[in-house]
Amino acid sequence: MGLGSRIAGMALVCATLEAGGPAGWIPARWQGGPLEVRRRGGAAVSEITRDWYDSRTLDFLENTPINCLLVTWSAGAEAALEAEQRKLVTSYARAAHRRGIAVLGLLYPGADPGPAAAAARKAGLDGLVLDGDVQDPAKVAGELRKRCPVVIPLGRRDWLWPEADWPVWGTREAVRAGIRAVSDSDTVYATPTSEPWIESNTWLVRSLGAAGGGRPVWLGNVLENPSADGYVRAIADAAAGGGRWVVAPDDTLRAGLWRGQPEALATWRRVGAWLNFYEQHAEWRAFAPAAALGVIQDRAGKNSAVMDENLNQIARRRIPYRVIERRELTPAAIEGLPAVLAIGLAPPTERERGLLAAYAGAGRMVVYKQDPPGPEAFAKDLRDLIGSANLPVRLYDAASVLLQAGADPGGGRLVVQLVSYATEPPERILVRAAGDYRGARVFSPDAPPADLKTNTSAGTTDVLLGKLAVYAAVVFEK
Amino acid sequence: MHGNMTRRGLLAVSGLSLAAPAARAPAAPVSIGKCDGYGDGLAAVLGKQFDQIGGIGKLVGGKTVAIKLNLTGSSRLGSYSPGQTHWVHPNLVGTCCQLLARAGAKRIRLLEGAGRGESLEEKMLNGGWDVAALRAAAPVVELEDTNRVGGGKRYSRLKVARPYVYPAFDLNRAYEDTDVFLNLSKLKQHEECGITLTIKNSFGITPNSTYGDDAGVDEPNESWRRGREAILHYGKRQPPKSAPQEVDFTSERFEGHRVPRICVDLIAARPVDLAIIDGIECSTGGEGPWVKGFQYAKPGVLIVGSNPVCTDAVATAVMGYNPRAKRGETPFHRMTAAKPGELQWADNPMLLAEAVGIGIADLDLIDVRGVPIKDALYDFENRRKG
Repeated sequence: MGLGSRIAGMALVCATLEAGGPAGWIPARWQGGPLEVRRRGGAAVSEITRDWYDSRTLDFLENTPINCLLVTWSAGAEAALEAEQRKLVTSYARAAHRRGIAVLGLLYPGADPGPAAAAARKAGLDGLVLDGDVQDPAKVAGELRKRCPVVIPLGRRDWLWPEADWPVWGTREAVRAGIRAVSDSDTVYATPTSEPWIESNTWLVRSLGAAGGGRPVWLGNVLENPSADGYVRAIADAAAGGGRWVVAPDDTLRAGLWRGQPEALATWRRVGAWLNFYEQHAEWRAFAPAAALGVIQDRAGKNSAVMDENLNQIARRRIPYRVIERRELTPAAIEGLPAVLAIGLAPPTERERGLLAAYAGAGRMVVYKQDPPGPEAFAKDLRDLIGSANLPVRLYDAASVLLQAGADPGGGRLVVQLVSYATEPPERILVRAAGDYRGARVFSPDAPPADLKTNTSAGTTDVLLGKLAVYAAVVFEK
Repeated sequence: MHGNMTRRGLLAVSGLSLAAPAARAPAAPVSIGKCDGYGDGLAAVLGKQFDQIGGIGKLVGGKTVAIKLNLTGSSRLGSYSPGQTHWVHPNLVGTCCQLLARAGAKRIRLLEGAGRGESLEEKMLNGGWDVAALRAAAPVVELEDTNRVGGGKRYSRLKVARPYVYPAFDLNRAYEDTDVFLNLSKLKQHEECGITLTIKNSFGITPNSTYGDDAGVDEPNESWRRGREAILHYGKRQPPKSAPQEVDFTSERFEGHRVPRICVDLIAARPVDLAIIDGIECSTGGEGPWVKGFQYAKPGVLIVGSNPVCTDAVATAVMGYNPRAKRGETPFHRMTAAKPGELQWADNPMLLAEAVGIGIADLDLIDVRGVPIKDALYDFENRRKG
């Protein structure tokens, strides 16, 4: 059975799912109930956590597009506690369904998959989520699927492989989007040319998106003491790559919502507005990456780990790239690119070798090395090799900003999504797009769209952006 | 005026004249100006300072003027722009271009070494500069990345009459193909050498292609990736065979000895006609944010002179230091702790330059105009120590 037909078959099974099924789900962690209190060993806000499945918490979802809740379902606790939890969640799920909201049960390490899946089916849950360090996830997933067709992983990345039947490619192995603090001043400049160390997951979302054959990508990491900007940066960092961060309000925010505290309500409204923004611009996810480099990946290959770090570093060097799955390597997949990174092939087959040999030359490069060099220095070299003039988009004065660029199918619009990772926002960023564009607009979740003045010269179009707190998208139009 | 002499010939003659005894090293007036910021008042202050040193009309009228900027490194200190701390400020560069054009300069070339994989324009854009505004500041403003051979196709060989380390340098042709050479530096300290002013700013005129750590053995490497430590700082290797080699391969290799001497060789090879030191906003603690202890500072001063040694001597005094301090005396030593057993002194480049007749570093013999030194004083050492 091919991958496509498996996905189609799965879609049929899930046809009755709430909110249109996994592709349309906008998820949030929504843990609560007595089992959650036990699991956490009695948190400071345990009363609110215990009572979280009061139906009034569903009101918090109004004005947000969140339509899929990940609720505490099973953790392998004593039978009475598990039963109490299930009873509570069953009732809550019915209330959620009445509002068109899907409910997925979280299975923590220790949960017994067979009974948990049977109970989930009986309770009418829309699926189950494997959260945390589950032993032998393939076996557990197989057991769960006998009774519950939708099982979503939120564990290690190595659970994911193209042949797996996960309807969503999810992982908890994501970083907190931001600048890595490596000194007491939160900034280290070790050399005259060093740049801040950006922690981002956008490369991971794009890598998983390509490997998963277009299945939704979820990042299930939980932020520690996030600020309002921290929440929306996590949303933006995943969304810029076409994925979704599983919104995870921490206990402080949940307590604030529960008590109606203005600051918490404002943060939550902002989270909702940002999620809405990305849904309003969902078409951008389908835009083809505007790329200077094709990166061939084979997640089952021997260089898979180093390729992950290569992608991370390539993104940090702001080299617009396109991820090409090894199984989808064709002349058409690399057409128009100035360079292809083929380390992921390790080693290439005769067919791949021939294809790349035919592509190379006439100013086009294939970069391959049996034993890959260190990714950080290698990404710098790649940028030098490609040359800044060959980049479809360049950013200036934006050391803490990463970009994702995509073009619409007609080629008339170029969308450049910018995420700022610094707590101190850049005041002024020059965005330079290759090509002559007659206009440009900036879009942001925090402000209405605005026209930008364009400056065109020597086959490039410049626009100047003002302060970038977290995210903006510049749409160039021909 | 120049008859049939080429620029190369003129530079050689100028170098020969330096063979005169140290006591006859020239002195020239230096102007100190106070300026609160890089806004509207800047042009008036700088224009007045040009007048105070005798005017620039004769010097630049109808001429090509090349300006060596100071844009070291690419990182920044917190939310400060590089121009507020360790680069010259773009508004000062723009103002300078406007005043030069107003005084009759027909062509202005902005020179600096760009980083690997970027043009000089891109380096400026990454520092937050409005390059379009800069280009519009005068009728002809050009940018040249002098870390490579660039538009000149081949390097110029500029000779040093009384060399300390190198008898000549192979430099981007922009340093030869100009009538007037302006050195625009930043008032700041230096981790290894103590101070970074006009003379030290000349270090950056050497192309990485030839003096970088990955320069070729035989020829320059136009695809260089590394900085200038092995050859210039430590003398661990020689430049490519195509370039002039050291005078004495057995000389001291310590950077505190080498770097000041190489800088003096460089201002002898490419004499400075006009020096401007940007101390309006700058930094203490080192030459860039990569040095531990680097901090923002705002002395609010501009220092202008036609002799690089005299100008640096006055600037050193404004920083609260003795411009005639000897090797190892403050500020001529490492600013950060040296490892056990490592040397930590640096030679005073002004005294080295004075010894080969480039200029006087004696405040008693320098005509300081504008604001007196005592009124412009900004105590770098105490502020550095916090």
